[in-house]
Amino acid sequence: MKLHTTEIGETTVMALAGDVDLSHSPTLRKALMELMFQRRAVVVDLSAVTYVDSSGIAGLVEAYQMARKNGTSFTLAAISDPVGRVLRLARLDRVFTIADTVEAAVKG
Amino acid sequence: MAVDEACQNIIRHAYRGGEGHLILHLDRQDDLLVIRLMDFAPPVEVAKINPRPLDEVRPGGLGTHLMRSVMDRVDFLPPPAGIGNLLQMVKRITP
Repeated sequence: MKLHTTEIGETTVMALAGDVDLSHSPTLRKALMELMFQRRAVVVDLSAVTYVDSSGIAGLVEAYQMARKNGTSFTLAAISDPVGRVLRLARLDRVFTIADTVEAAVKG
Repeated sequence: MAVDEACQNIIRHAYRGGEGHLILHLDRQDDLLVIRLMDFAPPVEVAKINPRPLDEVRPGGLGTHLMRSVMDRVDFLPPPAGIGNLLQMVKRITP
């Protein structure tokens, strides 16, 4: 998994690439939690994610819940087919705020 | 994905993050793909790894649901040696 963050105004865009599985999900969780503690608006760019397992999804759910508690925005953007499939299986596609593109997510 | 999630369950719940062996057995029986995963840990309480209701939005408990979603059957069988756990997952595949 590769993780890269960019600041666009008040929003942090976190771009993930590769496999988000048990060996990498603790890194993702830590990075997301740091942003949540800073109360940043976060957009997660999932366009280059090739595989996500339940531990990766758990990190996203935890960040989503923390953002809701903080009243900050947390958006998943440009979801790749493998991620979309897992989100639908877990019925989380109706829970997360999802944008078609990173640009649309940053604009809000 | 189902095998990945099943292995994670064994590592987390059966071996509790410690070291241990697991055996993966793949078999094709006509149009059925049969996957068996055996470990040698103390027997797990099956009720504890049942999928959670999906209307509860919380981080954990998704792995078992994903396994059951992508496979046709997921069952715990009696382990042949009487120790450990034996998980069987079956998927109908196009011949």
